[in-house]
Amino acid sequence: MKGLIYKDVLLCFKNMRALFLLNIVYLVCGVFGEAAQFFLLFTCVMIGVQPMSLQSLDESYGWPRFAAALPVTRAQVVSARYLVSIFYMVLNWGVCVLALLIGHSINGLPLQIGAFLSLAVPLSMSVPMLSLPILFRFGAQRGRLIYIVCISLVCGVMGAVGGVAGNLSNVPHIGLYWAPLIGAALYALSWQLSIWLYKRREL
Amino acid sequence: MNALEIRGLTRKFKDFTLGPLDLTLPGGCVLGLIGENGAGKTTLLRLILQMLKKDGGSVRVLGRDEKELDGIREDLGVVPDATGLPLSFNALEMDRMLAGIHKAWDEEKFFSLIKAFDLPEKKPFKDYSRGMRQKMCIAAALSHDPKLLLLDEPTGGLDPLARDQVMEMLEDYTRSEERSVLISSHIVSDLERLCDYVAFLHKGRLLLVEEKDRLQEELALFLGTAEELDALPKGAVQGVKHTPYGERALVRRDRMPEGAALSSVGVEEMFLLLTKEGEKR
Repeated sequence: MKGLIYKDVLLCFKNMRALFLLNIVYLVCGVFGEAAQFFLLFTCVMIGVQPMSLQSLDESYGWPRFAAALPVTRAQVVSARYLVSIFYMVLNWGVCVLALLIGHSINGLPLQIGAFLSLAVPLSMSVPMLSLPILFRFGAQRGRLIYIVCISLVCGVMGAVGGVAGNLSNVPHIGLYWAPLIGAALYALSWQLSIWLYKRREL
Repeated sequence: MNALEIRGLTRKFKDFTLGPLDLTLPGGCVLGLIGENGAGKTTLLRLILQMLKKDGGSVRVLGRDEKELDGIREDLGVVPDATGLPLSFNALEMDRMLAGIHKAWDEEKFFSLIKAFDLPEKKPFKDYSRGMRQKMCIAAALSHDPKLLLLDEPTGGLDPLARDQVMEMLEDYTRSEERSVLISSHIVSDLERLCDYVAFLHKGRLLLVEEKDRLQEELALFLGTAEELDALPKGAVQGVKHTPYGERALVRRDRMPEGAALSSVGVEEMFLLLTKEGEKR
């Protein structure tokens, strides 16, 4: 398991550099731009996409069969992906909060960390939560359609809360504070579903 | 203890059926699986490793049944058909990854194999040639002291020198009586050199599984005309190839008339002649 986590962390770091650079640009826009929260939330969506990219990458060089021959269970293969995704998401939330603090101190932007996280957490988790079970069951090739559906859904959600981009103080806080918990619960459910589905997949 | 016991193993696909197969690999032995492309060699290895679901039969690996396979994966060394190496990794990172996966990972052995194969440690695998990646897979499979090696075309893509090197390593590995190897290949000369047993797989069915030496004692090559071939006793001829110079037949020595001119036959020709016979049937 330790080896699988090492592999995913390193693989993500090596292959998603462009994504990380793009996120830095968005973070800078978040600090200095007018629609600060929109850019910061967008980094969360981008980070949420990386487990799916890793899955495609793995399959392109035959990793699933290689891993199936190693002394690791399929549940461990799935869990490593979910854990590493959480690691990068938490890292991104931390950086976003830092960006909010910097934006607040430099530009006097409103500081709404709680409201921001209540959107950022479920938003980051939504793409892996929806896509990973399908990718683990059907593989990256057939899962591409799901990718498009997920992105459309996420963009739809962002559009629906479009006002948020301007000012988070407009968001009904009480309802949204439940969102991270619901997101986390659904993420855990997706994790278990992926394990169940991957055990049934032929490699 | 048998390293591998396969009984009635079957898997059906739309246009291909593997089995039913019966195959035993005694502990401490090397079994070479010979078959043309698409014969089912890779499918068999995937069934053994439970990458595919079987439709029938049973597989016991190192004395354990299918349900216990996860518990003995540590004792298996596998070189899969597509190498599966993370292409952005290098040998140093591969070592760290596998050290976190195998309990018995032997870093010293891994790097000694890397050195023996002359593989660069810091070059990413994407810049390796196919043969280099294959060598890396072999080094990884040998570096945790597995009891059973499952090798799918391990010398495919290797030049003659590298093939010889791999064969030497495998010969060295099999010196211990506890270690067994199932190796599939269509480079029959490699298998001939290494194997105690050979299994011929043709169109999803096992034509024979036999000790290599016994096979060479039992079977022989008969060269003659079509008339001479027709005159041979029933059951003597196992396979025939028609050539412009006459008939080349694989025959059973014990069914041949005394004094018949026979010559010894190599494993490759045995396979070719047997599959020809299979097609005639």
